[in-house]
Amino acid sequence: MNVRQGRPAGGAAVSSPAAGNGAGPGEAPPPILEVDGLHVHRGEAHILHGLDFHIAPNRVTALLGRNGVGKTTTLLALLGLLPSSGEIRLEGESVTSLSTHRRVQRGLAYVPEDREVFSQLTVAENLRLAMQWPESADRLATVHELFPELERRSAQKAGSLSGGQQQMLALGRTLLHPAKLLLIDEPTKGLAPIVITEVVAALQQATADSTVLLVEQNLRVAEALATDAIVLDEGRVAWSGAMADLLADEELTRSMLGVGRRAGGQET
Amino acid sequence: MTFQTFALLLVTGLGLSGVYFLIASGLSLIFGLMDVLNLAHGLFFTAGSYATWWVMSSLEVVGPLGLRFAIAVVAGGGLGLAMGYVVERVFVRRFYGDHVTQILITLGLSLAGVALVGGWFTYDPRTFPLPEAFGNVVMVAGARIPVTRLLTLGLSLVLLVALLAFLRRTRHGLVIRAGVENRSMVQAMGIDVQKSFTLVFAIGGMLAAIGGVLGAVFFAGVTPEFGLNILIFAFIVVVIGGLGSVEGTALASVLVGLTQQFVNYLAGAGIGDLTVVALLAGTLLIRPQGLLGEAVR
Amino acid sequence: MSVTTTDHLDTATTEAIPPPRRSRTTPVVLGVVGLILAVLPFLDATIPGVFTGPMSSPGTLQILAVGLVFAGVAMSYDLLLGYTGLLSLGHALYFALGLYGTNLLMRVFGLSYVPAFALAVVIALAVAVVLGSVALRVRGVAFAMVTLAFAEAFHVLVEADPLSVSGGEEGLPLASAQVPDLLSGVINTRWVYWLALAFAALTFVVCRLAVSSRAGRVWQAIRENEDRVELLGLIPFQFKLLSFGLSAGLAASGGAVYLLLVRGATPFSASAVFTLNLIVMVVLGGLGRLWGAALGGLVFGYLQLRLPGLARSGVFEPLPAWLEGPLTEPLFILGVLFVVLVMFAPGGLASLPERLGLRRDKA
Repeated sequence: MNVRQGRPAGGAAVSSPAAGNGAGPGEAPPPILEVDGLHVHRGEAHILHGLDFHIAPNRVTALLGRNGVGKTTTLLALLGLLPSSGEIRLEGESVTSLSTHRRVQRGLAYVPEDREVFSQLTVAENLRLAMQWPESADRLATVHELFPELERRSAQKAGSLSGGQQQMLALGRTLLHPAKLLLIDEPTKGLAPIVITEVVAALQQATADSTVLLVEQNLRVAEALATDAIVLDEGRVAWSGAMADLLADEELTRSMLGVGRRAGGQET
Repeated sequence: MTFQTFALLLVTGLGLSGVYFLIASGLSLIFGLMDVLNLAHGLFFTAGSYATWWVMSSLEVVGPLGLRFAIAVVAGGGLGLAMGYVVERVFVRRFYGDHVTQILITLGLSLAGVALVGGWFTYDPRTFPLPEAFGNVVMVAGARIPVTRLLTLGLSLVLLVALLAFLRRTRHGLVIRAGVENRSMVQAMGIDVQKSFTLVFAIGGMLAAIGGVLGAVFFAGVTPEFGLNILIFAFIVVVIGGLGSVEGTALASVLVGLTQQFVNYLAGAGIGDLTVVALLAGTLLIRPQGLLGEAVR
Repeated sequence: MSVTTTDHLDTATTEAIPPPRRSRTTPVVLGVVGLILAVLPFLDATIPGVFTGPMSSPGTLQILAVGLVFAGVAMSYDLLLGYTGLLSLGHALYFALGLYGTNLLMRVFGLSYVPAFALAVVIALAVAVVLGSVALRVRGVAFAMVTLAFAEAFHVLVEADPLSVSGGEEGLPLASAQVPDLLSGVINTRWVYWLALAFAALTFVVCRLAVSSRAGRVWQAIRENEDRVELLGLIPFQFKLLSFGLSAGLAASGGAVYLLLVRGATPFSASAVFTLNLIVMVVLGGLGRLWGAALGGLVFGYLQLRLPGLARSGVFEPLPAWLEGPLTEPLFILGVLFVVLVMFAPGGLASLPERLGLRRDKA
């Protein structure tokens, strides 16, 4: 299958200096995550046909593509929540054979689509569940600073929170983990526009010094948060590079994402 | 119905509820956490009841029967704990995600287990001596209540409180409650949920075995098939209460135990059991997720 | 929905579901086996160690006939579990309805055997439709528990016997006056045997036709992925109920034949343990293969009736008591064999030729 548009992807490191936009000068730092030939089958469907990509440290990379192209599947496969073949390395060490909880202990952290907070547990219990790292106690203070609402509602059942509050809880519990790579899946899905603004502001603050792989349908949100982009098409990496370059090329944006830039954030 | 009869039926019904709760709570947690229908759960019950029979009738080193009974509770509970651990680690663990195979294996264990006990101890009911105090009646609000009924009720209440405290106050309990709701998210938080699987199986085995100890006293004897028979009512309790909910299981145990006891007395033996099945059908039609269960996730 | 759309969906469904595997040799092999079984009552040969009397003796024919009834009922259960993926823990109910129903209709209403048989099957079908409609509201493990509870209710009912008709724990002896002479008495065991053989053969034919029909293909699609069947515009509930009803009717017929063999109806036939035995038969033989289920039923019936005799013959006596006791229990041996098969040879007996490399037409 051929890459249809733009720069050939072929495992190109997102951290290449050409990606610009604040990348360190000279030598590129070693990638946090390297993925080689990632295949995923679900039932009879072959969803990912061998993904190759790298994630550079301390940058937010958006994982983009049309609906159903396999973005969430990619995150689940990275976490080991879906069976996959191929090679996944975190900081140069293979995690392919590890179970989900071991991968997380090695430094992956996950904010799922639909948030998946434990609705029967209180906010405090949801956070306590995540308090299992030496750094968690210090980080809890930061999380409460970032989301004061969570401290105010600590005795409330998480299921009774609003969508935006649940998103903050889902993000907050992940931030208690000193993770090397945050995997965030559609943090603004199903939220009202005003709440989206709030969540984006919180995400900008929370992810300032972290490495993030972000799945986001809302191109506006992706633009606000990400410096780099990886575009999936037909189960492969079709394009990768700087977010700004992607957005500058309207033809590319339309063909790869099925949306025009203007339509990305506002119109339905 | 005299007050004496009413009080006796009430306490007997609640004692039966206690036995149901002990076997059903583990079943419900096992199903809630790992989607496993453990047909071998009746075996834990049988193990507890035969441990009681053996300790009470053969452990002559220990003189006082009261002390022997205490030993029976501990030994039965310990045996159930060990069996739960072994069943999970050896038989169930390698088939997670394959529900039918898990059910089939626990079914085979259940049949072979009953036959094993029958082969060892024959299918004849076995009785055993009880501490003299167990034969007494006490006056409660003017009604004469047998001590065995109060014992069953009391001990199962203590275990209910202990189980709830474990689930609500400890980190293991927190992980189990979270896992019942969403297993893969617990893993995605870096927690080894398999440890909780083993733990829940062991705790479920222990509770069911203590249920067997109390059942042996409550029904004044033990038989090999008894665990399987009572397992069927435990299933009904679990479905009515809502899969995975300990509180729901407790509530449904009381409902089923009392219904069975009162209707059997008022309408004739067997009719109470039928009413309980009707309750199950009604629950499914009106509220398929059970009294305190969550809607299908 | 327009007619064309429906047609389109139907074609899509049928195309999406591969036709069942067919081997050309199976019908021939089964025909030969059937023929041999049919002429057995004329054979005076003995198989030492396997059967105590010659093949034509009533004792041997009785064991074989029980095995054949189990084979038929196991095939009916395979429709549910093996082909539709429905784990019912209450199949004993329908077997027992045929058994008790036929007997009661003869006893209480004085019907003769054949009309009583037919009416009992109709009643079992009606009960299956009503209870199936309730139980099929839930899926998976909850379905298993609910079917179990319904069957247990009937078990309790016949055992407690509040109306004094079912004979309680003792059971209900056969109403022999209503049974044709040809089918009663020890000398006529061969006719009962032939009836059992006819039942097993007919059940096989009915099941085979059913699973290769359009509905049968939908059953197998439901087994693989119920949601997908729904997406194709079909209503899984209707097909599951059809499978449930058909298998109940066949099980009830088996019960009516079994009545003549054991000359009475006992509560055990309605118990959960009987259903569990059926599961053992089907899985022992091989899930989702009719001849596997039939083989499982035959083997189970044979072992259940022969093992106690084997134990009495003193084979296990040299063993220590803690081992001898359990080994005289058929269910202990069957249970252990079952667990081993499920864990290490999930295809059951039917898969053993493939596993040992004796068959080349592997899936």
